[in-house]
Amino acid sequence: MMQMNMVQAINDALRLEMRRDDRVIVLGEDVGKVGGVFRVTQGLWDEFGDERVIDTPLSEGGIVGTAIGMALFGLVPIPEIQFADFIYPAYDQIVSELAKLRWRSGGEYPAKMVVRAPVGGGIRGGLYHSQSPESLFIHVAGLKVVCPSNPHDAKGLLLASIRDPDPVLFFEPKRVYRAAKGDVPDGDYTVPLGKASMVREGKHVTVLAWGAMLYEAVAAAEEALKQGIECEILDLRTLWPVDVEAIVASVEKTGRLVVVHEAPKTCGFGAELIALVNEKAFLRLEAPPVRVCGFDTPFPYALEMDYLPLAGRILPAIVETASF
Amino acid sequence: MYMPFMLLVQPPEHTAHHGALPDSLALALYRAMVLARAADHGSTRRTEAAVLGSAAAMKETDWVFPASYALGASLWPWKPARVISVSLLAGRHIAHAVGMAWAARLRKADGVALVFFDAKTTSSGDFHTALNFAGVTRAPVIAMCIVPSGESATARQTASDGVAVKALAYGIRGVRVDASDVFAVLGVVSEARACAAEGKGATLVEAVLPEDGEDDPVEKLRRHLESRSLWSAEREAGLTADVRSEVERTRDDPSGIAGDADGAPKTNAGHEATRGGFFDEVYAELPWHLREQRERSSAR
Repeated sequence: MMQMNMVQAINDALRLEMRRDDRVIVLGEDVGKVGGVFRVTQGLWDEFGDERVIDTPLSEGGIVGTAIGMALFGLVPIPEIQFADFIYPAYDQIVSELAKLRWRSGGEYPAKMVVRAPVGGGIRGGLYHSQSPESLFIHVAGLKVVCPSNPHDAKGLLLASIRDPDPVLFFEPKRVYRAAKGDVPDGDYTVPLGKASMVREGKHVTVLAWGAMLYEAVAAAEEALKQGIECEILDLRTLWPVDVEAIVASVEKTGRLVVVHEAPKTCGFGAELIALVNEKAFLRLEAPPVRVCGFDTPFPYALEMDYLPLAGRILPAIVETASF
Repeated sequence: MYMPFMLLVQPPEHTAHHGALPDSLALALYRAMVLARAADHGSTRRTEAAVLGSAAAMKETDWVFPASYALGASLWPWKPARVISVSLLAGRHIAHAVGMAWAARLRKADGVALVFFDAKTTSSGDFHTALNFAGVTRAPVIAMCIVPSGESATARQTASDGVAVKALAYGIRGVRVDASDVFAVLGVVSEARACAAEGKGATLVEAVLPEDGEDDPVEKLRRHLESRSLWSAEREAGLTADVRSEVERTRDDPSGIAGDADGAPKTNAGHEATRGGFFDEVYAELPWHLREQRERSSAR
C-alpha cells in the first residue's frame, strides 16, 4: 500500500500492465521522452523504449486510426489524447470504425484498446482544455466509458479496462490529477467495470456523481447533513454500461435523486440517468429528479467556477429535493 | 513536371521479363480476373488487373484492406493474404493498414499491408493523415490508388499531376502504373512489397484505369495468353462455364469460397438473418441494457 495521487496511480497501472503483457503499448503526442502533457506516462519511455512508448505526429485521427490497425495486428494499444477537447478529429475513427469493428465483422475482428484522455475544468484551461464529452461516446454502441475519481479506482479501473475485450474511453478528471491522494495497493488488482461505488450511505437523497465533481457532491452532502439531510452518494466510476442496479436500489431507498455532472445539461448523461430511474423506479420517487450540471454554453475561462456544478450549487438542489 | 520518384512501367509486350512469367501464374491471373468480373457488382469493372495483380504480389503473412470495389482481392486463389473487413467509408481504413504494418515493423514480424482506395479519397484528411504516418513510421504498407483515366477524372480532386507525385511530400515512394496491364501491376506491387519488407517503407501506387473501349484488362490478358499459345476458344468456353457455376455456388453458399483460409469474412449475405442477431457482437458480452432491449424487441 502506498500513498499516491491519480497521476502516479495511472502511471503505476500502465507500468504494471506493460511489464505483465508485452502486447501493451502507449502512443500519443509527447507521451515518450516528455512523459505526456500531465506527466502520466513519465518514466515509461526509459523503461520500455520507443517501440512501446511512442511519440506520434500531431493527429488524433491518425493516432486512433493507426492504433486500430495495431490492435488488428494483435497489440493492445493505449492511445493518449492530450485533452478530451482534442478528441474530435479522432471521433470519426472511434465512432465509425473502432466501435463497430467487432459488430461489422461478426466478431472476427475486434479491436480492443483503451483511449485515455484528461477531462473536465477547474484548471484555468479555458474552452478548449476543460470539456467533458462523455455523453457523446456513451451514445455510441460498442464503446465503454470510464471515469475514476480517486487513485485506487484509477489504477484498478485502468487495469480492468486494458484487459477488457471491448474498446474503452478512459476519462481522467484532470482537476484532481494531483489533488486526489489516497492509498493504492501495490501490485496487481482490478476494479470491475460496470460497478458503482457507494461513497456515503444516507436515507434522504441519492446523489450520483463521478470524476472531479464527486468531491463537490461530498462537500455538499456534509453541509446538507448540518440541516439534517442524509445523502447517499454513488460514484458511478463506469459511466457505460452504468451500474443501473445500484442506482435503482438507492433511489428505491431514498425516493429522491440529484445528478451532478460538468458537461452541459442538455442531453448530458444526467438525462439518461434520470430516464432510467423514471423507467425503473418511477413509483418510488417522492420528488422530481434534479440535474446540477454545466450550462449549455461553451466552457468559460475567467468564470469557470461559475460554470462548474460546485458544492454551492449542489447544496440548494439537495435541500429543495429533500423538502419537496 | 518534376517527378523524381516516378517509375514508368511499360506494357508487357515491351518488357522482356514478362515473357518469363510462368505459364501457370499467367493462367491463374486470367482465371481470377474472369471470376472477379463475373462476380462484379458494377464498380469493380475494369479494376481486375489493378486488384488481382496487386493481390498476386502479396504473401500469406500479408494483409489486404479492400475498398468495396476491391473485393476481388479475396478471390486470389493461392496466396490468401488476410483480408480485413471492409469499411464503406472512404479512406478511414488507410490508417488501419498503416497501423497494422507499423505494428509488424515494431515487432519485426513478416507482413506487408496492401490498402485499396480511389482517387476521390485522396481529397480526404484521412488520406493525408495515414500517408503522413506511413512516412514517419516507415511502415511496410502499399497504398494502391485506383484512378480513372483522363485528366478530368482527378481534376476535381487535386491540382497535382495525378496521385503518385503526392508521395514525394510524404517521403515515400510513388509509382504510376497502367491498370489495364496485370503484369505491370504485379511488377510494380512486387517491387513495392520487396521495398517494404526490406525496411524501405511505403509506396503509393497510382493505378490508372483504361478509358472506355480501350485496353480492357481482361481482354488484354487474353490476347497475351493467345499470343503465347496458352489460350483457345475451347478453353475460354470451359472457363466461362466453370466461372458461372462457381459464382452461382458461392452465391448460394458463401462459406465455400475457395482459398479463403484466413481471408473470407464469416458473415455473408445469403444466409438467413437470425432474429435479434444484431444485438450480438456489439460488445464481447451482452451488457444489461442490450439484454433488456433484446428481450423487449420482436426477437423475444
